[in-house]
Amino acid sequence: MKIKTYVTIILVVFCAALLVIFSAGFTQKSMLEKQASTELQIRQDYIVDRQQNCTVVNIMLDNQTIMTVETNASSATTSTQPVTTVTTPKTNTTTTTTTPKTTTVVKPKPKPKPVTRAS
Amino acid sequence: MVRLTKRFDIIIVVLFVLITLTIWGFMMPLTERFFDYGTSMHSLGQITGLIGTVLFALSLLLTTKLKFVENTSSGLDKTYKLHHIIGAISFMVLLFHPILLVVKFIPDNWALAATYLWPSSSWAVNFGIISLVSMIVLLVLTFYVKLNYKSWKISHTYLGWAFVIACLHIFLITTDISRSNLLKAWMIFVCAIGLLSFFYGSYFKNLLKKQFKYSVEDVKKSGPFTTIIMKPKNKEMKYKAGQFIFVKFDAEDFKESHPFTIASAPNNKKEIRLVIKSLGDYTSKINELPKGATATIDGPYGKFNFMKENKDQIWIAGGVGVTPFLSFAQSLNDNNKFKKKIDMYYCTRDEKEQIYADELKSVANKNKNFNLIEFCASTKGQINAELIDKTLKIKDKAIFLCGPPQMMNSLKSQFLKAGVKKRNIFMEDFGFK
Repeated sequence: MKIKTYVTIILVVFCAALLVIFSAGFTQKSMLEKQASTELQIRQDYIVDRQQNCTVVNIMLDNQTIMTVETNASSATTSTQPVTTVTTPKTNTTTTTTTPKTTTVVKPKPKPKPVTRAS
Repeated sequence: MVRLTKRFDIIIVVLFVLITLTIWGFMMPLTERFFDYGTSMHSLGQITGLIGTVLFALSLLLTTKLKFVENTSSGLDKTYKLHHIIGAISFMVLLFHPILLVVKFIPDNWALAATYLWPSSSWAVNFGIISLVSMIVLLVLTFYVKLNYKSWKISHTYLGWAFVIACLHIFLITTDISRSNLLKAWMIFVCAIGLLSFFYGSYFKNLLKKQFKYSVEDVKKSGPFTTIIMKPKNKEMKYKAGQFIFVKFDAEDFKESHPFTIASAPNNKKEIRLVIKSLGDYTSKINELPKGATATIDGPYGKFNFMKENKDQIWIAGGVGVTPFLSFAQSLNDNNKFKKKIDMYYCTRDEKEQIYADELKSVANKNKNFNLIEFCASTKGQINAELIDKTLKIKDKAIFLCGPPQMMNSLKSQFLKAGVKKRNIFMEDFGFK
């Protein structure tokens, strides 16, 4: 076979590999980004509720409420309640609420470590 | 001249690759290098990067036309052929480099693999991406687009710039080169060879290399061939029969340097004759070259020399491949020391193309050891080893071939099958592109 034939084969393989990596990679990347924006939405919903002195926390996914966490407002002023933790399996988001100050903490996912490159 | 077994240039290329692998291999135990799938892929990615760079640098060295480079091979035509092959291998190996580096992330993290290959804020990585993309574009032009000689030459020159950018990538990125002083020193040496070769070959050669000035005395067109006679303006160039030169003229459309075989005898110091067949955009109008134009000659090059073989010989010329044999035959007139028997096949498609038959016949009339056989494919069919063997005893004779590449390659394999030893076959490649 001529050297040109080998070059053609390798070039086609390279282009195909690049196509697969980029299409699969950027699809996965956009999914991860969407997941991150959902978590952000949960936090924003909580802040709105808190400003209205509300004890209800709506946990939403894709603009749909998937869970509501309600705390006892009267007991909040009288006693210290143990921490209530609600986990939403779909989003892996943990919502923690404490009743005395009606404090709800949404733990954001730890940021991924920056990618270090080496070749 | 091709001694098929003597190729020191290939040995040097292999040696450079082995030295690189040895230094890299001794940096840390290979069990660590190839511990699991991830480390193995990463190591292979590193190897392809290093080997690709070494081959790229050496392919640039092979284009410099330096005497010592030509002396490592069997002639500049073979050096250029090797440049073509190792340049292509370097390109193929370098294509694997980024792919192998990201394969370790797959299938767990496709996103990371894609991000790795995408331009980012890291210029060390970006230089690698720019260099590879430039290489791909320029080599696609070289391999798949039929460019004219001038455009092809310019696009090929830019490949040197891809190497310059690759060097930035190599020395800026955190890798084995930055971690090992020995590997760093070796790669600096290799890259220096590549960089110096590129800048010398592309920008400084005309200033640094001795060139000869000739004036065009006569331009004659006969059929598809144009004969150019040139006379020295000052010092004449010394050459051997069968050698070739790179010529450019100070006339419009002819300023680009092109390689041509000398068709005159070395003893004729008064003039140089070129026989050029109309094959491309440049050669098709060479007959329009004005008389009196100044020719700048770079050369001579090539080792296609019948005088070195002290045995009976068969010369086979195909079409315009007759040019070195015209020089050979003329030198027989001048040099009666060569007493061995020579049978020459002058092969063309038809009789009309046997333009230099009369000149060769006159040599045959003067020299009893020289026999000319005119061979037209239109009446006798394609020439082949069996046919030659029936007429002449081919074993133990030195066979000199010059003609279209397909014809030469076909005849070479036929002669080898017929029992002719490799060391007795000599070919002149005049396809530089």
